[in-house]
Amino acid sequence: MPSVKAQSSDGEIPEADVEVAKQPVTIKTMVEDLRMDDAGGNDLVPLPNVNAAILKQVIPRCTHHKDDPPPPEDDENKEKRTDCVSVWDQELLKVGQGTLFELILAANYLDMKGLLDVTCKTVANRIKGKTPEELPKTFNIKNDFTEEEEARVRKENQWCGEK
Amino acid sequence: MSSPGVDGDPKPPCLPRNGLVKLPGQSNSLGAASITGTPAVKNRLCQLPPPPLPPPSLAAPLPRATLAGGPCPSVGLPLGGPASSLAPGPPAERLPLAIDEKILNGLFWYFSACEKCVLAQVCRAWRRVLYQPKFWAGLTPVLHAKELYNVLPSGEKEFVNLQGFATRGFEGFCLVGVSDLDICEFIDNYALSKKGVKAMSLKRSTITDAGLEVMLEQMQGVVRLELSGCNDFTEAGLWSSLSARITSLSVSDCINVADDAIAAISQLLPNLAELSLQAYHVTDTALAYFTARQGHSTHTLRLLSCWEITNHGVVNVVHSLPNLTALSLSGCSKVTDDGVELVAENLRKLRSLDLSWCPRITDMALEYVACDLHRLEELVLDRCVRITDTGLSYLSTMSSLRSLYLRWCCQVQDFGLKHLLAMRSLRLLSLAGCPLLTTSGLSGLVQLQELEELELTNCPGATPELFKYFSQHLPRCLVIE
Repeated sequence: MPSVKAQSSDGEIPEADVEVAKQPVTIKTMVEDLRMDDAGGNDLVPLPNVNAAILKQVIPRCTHHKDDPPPPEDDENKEKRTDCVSVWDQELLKVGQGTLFELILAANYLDMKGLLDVTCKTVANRIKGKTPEELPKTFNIKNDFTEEEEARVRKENQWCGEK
Repeated sequence: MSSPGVDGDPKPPCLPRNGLVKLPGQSNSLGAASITGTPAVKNRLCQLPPPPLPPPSLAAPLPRATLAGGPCPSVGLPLGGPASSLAPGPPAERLPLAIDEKILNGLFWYFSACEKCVLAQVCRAWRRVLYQPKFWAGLTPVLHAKELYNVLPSGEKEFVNLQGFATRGFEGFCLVGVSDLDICEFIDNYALSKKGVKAMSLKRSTITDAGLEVMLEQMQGVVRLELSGCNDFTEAGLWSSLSARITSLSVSDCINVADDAIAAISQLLPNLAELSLQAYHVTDTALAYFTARQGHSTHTLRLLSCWEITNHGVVNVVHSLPNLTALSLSGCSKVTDDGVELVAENLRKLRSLDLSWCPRITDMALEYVACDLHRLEELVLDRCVRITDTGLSYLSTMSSLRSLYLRWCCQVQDFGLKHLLAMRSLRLLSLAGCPLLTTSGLSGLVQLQELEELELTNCPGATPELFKYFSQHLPRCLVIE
């Protein structure tokens, strides 16, 4: 089985079967455009936006999911559900916030809808149920509202509460 | 509400379209998702074969580029030992990603309206991304009279700043418990009120004829109007305020509304596409008032709990509104099978029919429906207590039927279910409150592999084992307990 080497942003070169590597649409496009399928396996696919650690997690997921049907075209501008993450993916994604966000960016860059979906669902599920006071701490963000702004944004969002 | 209505029915935000909410099951550790749109389509198979290999171990250290600031490992320990791989990591690196707009623009789609309201309060970056109109399309804020004012230290009242609503581009508002004065204040203080608001809904409000006239005159963009529980306006008010630009009107539980209101509607609203009426005193005669213009433009008619309407009224409807694609006679308790026969023979374009809470409807009505309404996609029979398995056998021939509601059809048994199993077109089925269905009868539903939503609330036959069975064999279907 011909293989493809991808060069990550920090120089490492994880190797993968070409069929597995073609799952990320970005790579598939590169491989096919440059006719790497029948190359001797010496060409490198450069991925300057993805570091090796993330790539090392993306590739096993591609392998595991290589026989999945392609995800259906979903309506981009519609509310999405957050259930239905397979047990295997749940295990893979038991990582810290930072890694999860990096996986989201990688999935976006590599145009991998399936991975993008499960990583977003995982982050979303960590967010749900938390209050506006708890969330900045969980994600290490600063609540930068002034007191007045905070009162206003709370007031203009209470219409959605329990009535 | 027993009837789910059809698309376009103005509903407050946060409530699921047809009253269905999935309760968190114990096995679902990810928590529940509530359904707020049309029946959900799962966009990924969630049951995959067991993994042959364990997922990659994350004990290996994650190499990181040089960090600016943040805690340093103590001297002598290798950088990034196993323990650090799961730690949140130094804030300096994480900070940008949690407010990265590219991530947030994708992430915020995974939240309901209520959840987005919470998230907007976290920080400026989250609010900025969230306040884009795309995240609020189709939602209507519900504002109570008290919420419209701030009380100043001096004791005076000041109207709240509604800029946060304008930014989000809401096209419609629902105001509850408001007076004529409150409505005028809203119009004066909301920048987009004159042209930008397309839908107004007033509930349990004291709006008068004069108030209604001013509102519709000032808010030139309003084409969808709902009045519910407003007892201070009269039919004269409708005559003086209804404007030809209105395409959708809903009036319910307003004590002064009777036949003359229909006269006003039929004369003044040539572009009316959708009419929803809940009025105890409207009679058959009024349903003949509709003009040729409405005959052409009106595609949705809902007569809800119009207790005085009989089959004669149905005759008037099918003759004056021949182009209906959606009809509800929910709670019109005097309508019988003969009325349904008239509907089936004359309204061939119907895609949605609601006969819920019509206690006189029998299996015969279903024979008429199945025979003539070939385009029907949605049929609501909640509380039609005389429906039996025979009626379901008639329905089994309907090849376009996507949604079937049989809530509290208490005579339905396992034998009737069998007739439904051949209906490949079915995507939504509700059997809530059907006491005679057994577990083994219900288990046959796995044959409907294309089913997207199945409601089994208050079904004694729906045991935990059955739900487990469904989650394995009907993986793409949302099963509601």
